[in-house]
Amino acid sequence: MSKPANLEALRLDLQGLHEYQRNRFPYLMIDVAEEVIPGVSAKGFKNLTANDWFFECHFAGDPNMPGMLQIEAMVQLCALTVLTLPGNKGKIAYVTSVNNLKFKRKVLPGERFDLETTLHSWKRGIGQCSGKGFVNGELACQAEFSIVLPDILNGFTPGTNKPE
Amino acid sequence: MSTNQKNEVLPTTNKQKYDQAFITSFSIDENQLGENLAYNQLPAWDSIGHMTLVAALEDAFGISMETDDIMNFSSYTKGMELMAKYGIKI
Repeated sequence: MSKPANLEALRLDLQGLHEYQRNRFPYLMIDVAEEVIPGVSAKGFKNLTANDWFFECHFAGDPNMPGMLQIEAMVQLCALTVLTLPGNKGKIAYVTSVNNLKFKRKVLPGERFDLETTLHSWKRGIGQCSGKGFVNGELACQAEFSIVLPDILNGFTPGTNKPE
Repeated sequence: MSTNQKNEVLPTTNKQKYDQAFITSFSIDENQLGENLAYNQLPAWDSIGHMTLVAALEDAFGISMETDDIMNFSSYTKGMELMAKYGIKI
């Protein structure tokens, strides 16, 4: 998607992430969104430590970040591309589909999990996205996925009031 | 209908395109199409399915539907009426 006019790239730390989206510790899978271009793309990372809750249970003796949480991290990051558009701050975002999902390597305690996501289309509350996760520049995972903002989507369905 | 290079059957008439949008969007059979097919009467025709259907129809007919028409698109038969607004006779 082309960048909407007058929207500058944002850098979101924890406070900024809390401002724009609703995931919270321990489910927030991003530490910093380094560059969010509203309506276009987002880059960010999560530093993984041995204290992260999922390492103890996934798996004992072989701690690595669950693949589904890697996807969740991509979804949370890409959701920022729409949550930073005017009127969307703080809305709930859901993932509705994931396709062409691939995992290439384990993501381990002590590693920095870098993420790059792109919003390919955004229409009537549904976004088509893709994302990649890296460790030390090495591809760890990739996927295509759809996200939805029900607050917007539901305004277009039969039996509802016209969205403002 | 015609076929493409992969021998896949392609819809050619407006009715075939219209039906194909429902069949593809909701993963249903042709015999499920009809006046009983309406929003929320099929598990796949929920709010997300509704937008999938609208996008499929917009692609198939090269149109951009207005918000009011999307909200009023409450059934298979109602949709046929609305398509006429865009010069598409089903």
